[in-house]
Amino acid sequence: MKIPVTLKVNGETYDLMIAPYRTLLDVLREEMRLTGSKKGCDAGDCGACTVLLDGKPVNACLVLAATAQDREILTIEGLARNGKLHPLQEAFVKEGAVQCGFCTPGILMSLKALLDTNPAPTLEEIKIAMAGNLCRCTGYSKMFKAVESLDRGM
Amino acid sequence: MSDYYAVGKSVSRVDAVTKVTGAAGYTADVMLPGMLYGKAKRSPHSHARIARIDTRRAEAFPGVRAVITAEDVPGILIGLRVRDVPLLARREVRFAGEKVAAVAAVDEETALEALDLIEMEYEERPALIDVTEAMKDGALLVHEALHTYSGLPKPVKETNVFFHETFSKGDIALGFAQADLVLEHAFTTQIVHQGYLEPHAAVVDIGPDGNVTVWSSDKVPFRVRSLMAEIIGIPITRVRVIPSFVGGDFGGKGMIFDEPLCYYLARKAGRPVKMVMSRQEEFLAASPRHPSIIRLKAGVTKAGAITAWEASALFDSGAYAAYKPQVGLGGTKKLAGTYRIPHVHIEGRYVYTHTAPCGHCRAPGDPQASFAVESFMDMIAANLKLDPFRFRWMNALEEGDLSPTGEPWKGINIKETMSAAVEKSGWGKAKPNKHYGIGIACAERPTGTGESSAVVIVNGDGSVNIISGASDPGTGARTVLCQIVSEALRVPMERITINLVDTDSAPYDQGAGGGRTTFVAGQSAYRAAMEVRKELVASAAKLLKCAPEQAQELIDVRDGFLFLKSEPAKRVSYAQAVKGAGKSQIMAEETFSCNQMEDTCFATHIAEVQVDPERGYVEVKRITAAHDIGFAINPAAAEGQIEGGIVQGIGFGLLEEIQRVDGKVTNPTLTDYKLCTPREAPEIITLLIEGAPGAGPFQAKSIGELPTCPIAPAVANAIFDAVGVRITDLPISGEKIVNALKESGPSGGKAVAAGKERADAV
Repeated sequence: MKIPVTLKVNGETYDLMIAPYRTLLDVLREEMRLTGSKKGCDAGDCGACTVLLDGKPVNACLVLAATAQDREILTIEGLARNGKLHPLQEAFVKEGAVQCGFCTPGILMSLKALLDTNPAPTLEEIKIAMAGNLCRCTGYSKMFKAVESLDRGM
Repeated sequence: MSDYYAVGKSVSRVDAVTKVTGAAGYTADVMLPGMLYGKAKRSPHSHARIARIDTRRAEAFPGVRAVITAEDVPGILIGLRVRDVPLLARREVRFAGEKVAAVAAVDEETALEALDLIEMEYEERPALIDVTEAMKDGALLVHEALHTYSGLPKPVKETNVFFHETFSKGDIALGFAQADLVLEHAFTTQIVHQGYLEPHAAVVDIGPDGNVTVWSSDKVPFRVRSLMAEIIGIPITRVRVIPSFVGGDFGGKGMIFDEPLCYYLARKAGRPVKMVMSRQEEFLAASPRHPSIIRLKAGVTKAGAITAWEASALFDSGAYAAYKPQVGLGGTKKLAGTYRIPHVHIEGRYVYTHTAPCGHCRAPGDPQASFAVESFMDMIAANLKLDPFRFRWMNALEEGDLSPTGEPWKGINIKETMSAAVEKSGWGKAKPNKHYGIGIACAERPTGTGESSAVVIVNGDGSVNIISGASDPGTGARTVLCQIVSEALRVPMERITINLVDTDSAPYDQGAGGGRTTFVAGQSAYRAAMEVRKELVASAAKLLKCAPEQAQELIDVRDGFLFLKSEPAKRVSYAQAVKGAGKSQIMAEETFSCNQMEDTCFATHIAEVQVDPERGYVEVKRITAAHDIGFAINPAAAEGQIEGGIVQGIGFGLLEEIQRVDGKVTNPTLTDYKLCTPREAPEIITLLIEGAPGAGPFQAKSIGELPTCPIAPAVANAIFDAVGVRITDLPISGEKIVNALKESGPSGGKAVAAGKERADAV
């Protein structure tokens, strides 16, 4: 059985017919081909699928797509605007905070949510905001440095 | 050094923008029209005979397009070196998690449901779970036909010890006779997963002509090509492997996993098939780090000189040896550390058990060896009442020494890394509080060898393409190749492009692994670029009216222009030089191959920890890591390797363990298997020690694997310094610390060996 669901993703509206048990992650990846959100565990442990739901970071693998009806969904594909990178993305590029890149979209979304409410976070606050995201490559150091390098007045 | 054009600089990665925008395509992102989803059915038993498989109900399930068992795939054994693993279990399963069948269906949910409809009847057999049991005479054999397997250095029969290697130097009996004190201890290390965030994924599409296209998360596309061609029985020209970005490797992405199953499912269903391993499957049946039992015995004089060193390691290889490109592990050779020891004897044994097959994990065998050796060094120092740094310094290798196993090494600079780490850390300084501790550990690991080829093209507009099959599982290798070519041709980085190219389009590359890419692929790219440069210079000589025999000497290049050194204002662009040569592009291809190294890379790590003796909680406050790197082509990338290796090493030391009961994994999730999160990440001070001659371009050495090696012992030694307990069984959990503290009494001041036996003076 499929049900109609309307999702608002990165400012676009999508009318979909989907099975009610499908996760937001699977629908983003497979129905919309927005594959920037990654499936690292499908259990809410790794954070690679983090997206913003009404501005708050969530694991898209733990959200049923149907429950996100009419809510504002922001994925990594919507972070850069009009071809211009978000300052966080620029800082990640500049500071060498990206290695294999698989965790990167989720971590950027967690940090975007942090900076939206707290433009000048402490290192401890950065760590807490990223605590639901795993990265095996970087040891996190350069990610912390990237956030700390941002202009705090943004 | 400062006049380099492009190397020695922390330039941004060539793929960073693609990755931060979510545009980078990984194998699981590949979607083809009509694609089916495959899932594997796995054995719940550690050892059993397969009495019956009935797939009829699964085949009849709506949405299922193909079901395969061992009957549908070739009955061959495959492996990277030792060939001992079937594509699907045939008659017998040898570990819980082994694949027995696979299903392809219209979606993943249907495939998963269909798995439950495959009826399996097993006759359970006794399982060998304990490696020491597996070694005993008369033990049940994990592989009865071992003597028929290919890939072993010599045939062995009726044993589970499929490989036994030894390394010797001097006369070990004499060395012990010269000792005032002989100490002995055993160390154990656990089984850990590589922890890459991207699970294994594969997609296979079969064309109407039978040609096969493979997308794979494997880091070695050319190996995927040759293995697939061999399995299917077609020439490699009919298999094309298209690389995607690889979401982390750490040694775990070097073997094919579901690629052959995708092929046989696709063949049966007539549609492309994708398989992605779940995180649970990753923990059950990937290719984790070998657990080990390591015994060390050292003879020392009262003054602190090491006279003899005996080591033996047992590596539990699990049910198959197929997942490692060598029969043994490089770590065995590291069992005498970085010290000048006249008499050394090392033995390594690799043993089959009915558990998940182990494979390569970042510096295979080295972190195990390093934990034992560097913990033991501190234990010996404590016994001699010597400072651990001083004891290491007295015995550390120096220029002109042979390696602990008797090889000549040039450019030994372990002491420089020791001095640098001590200077920048809290070593020798007052402790901020009672339960703060500091520990040191040293390690070495050679640059990897192998074969790579690269094509460098200067196009008609002066832009540059590098065509290389070298993979970059996140290390920054492709950026480094661009920097090397940028330096050789003096062309700005932004005019150089390196794309992911398939195995039909790129020349052969052995693939990432062993810390070889900067060296081997780097040399091939450098040499190809220099060939192109020669041709550009020869062409420009005509335009600059320079005698051809003097052109290579008199003409210089910069920013994509050629000019006489004596007349730098008069310039010829690369575009003009290409045109002047009467060509549309100037291209060179170079192959570089090296199988022997005469040097190694050294490192010293110092860990500072805070231990809560009530809960046994260890907070790693700071790591100071000094690495002998030769020359850092991209310092930020090198630091990134060190920082990542350190945090992975902390996980190995304190947190990570695939736990098993009767060989069955009990914590197959990232909730219960703890990787370090951002909150466990310590402050890291990285010190890049340049100047020793490396074999890579610009004398670079390798950096990918070594950072993982000395961390666990540095942390163990720091814990001992903080609370006086010596844990010799990894991981050092809070429980082990608390229990050891209880055993040593409330003062916590006395050393306790929590391993299998105590350090014992004779």
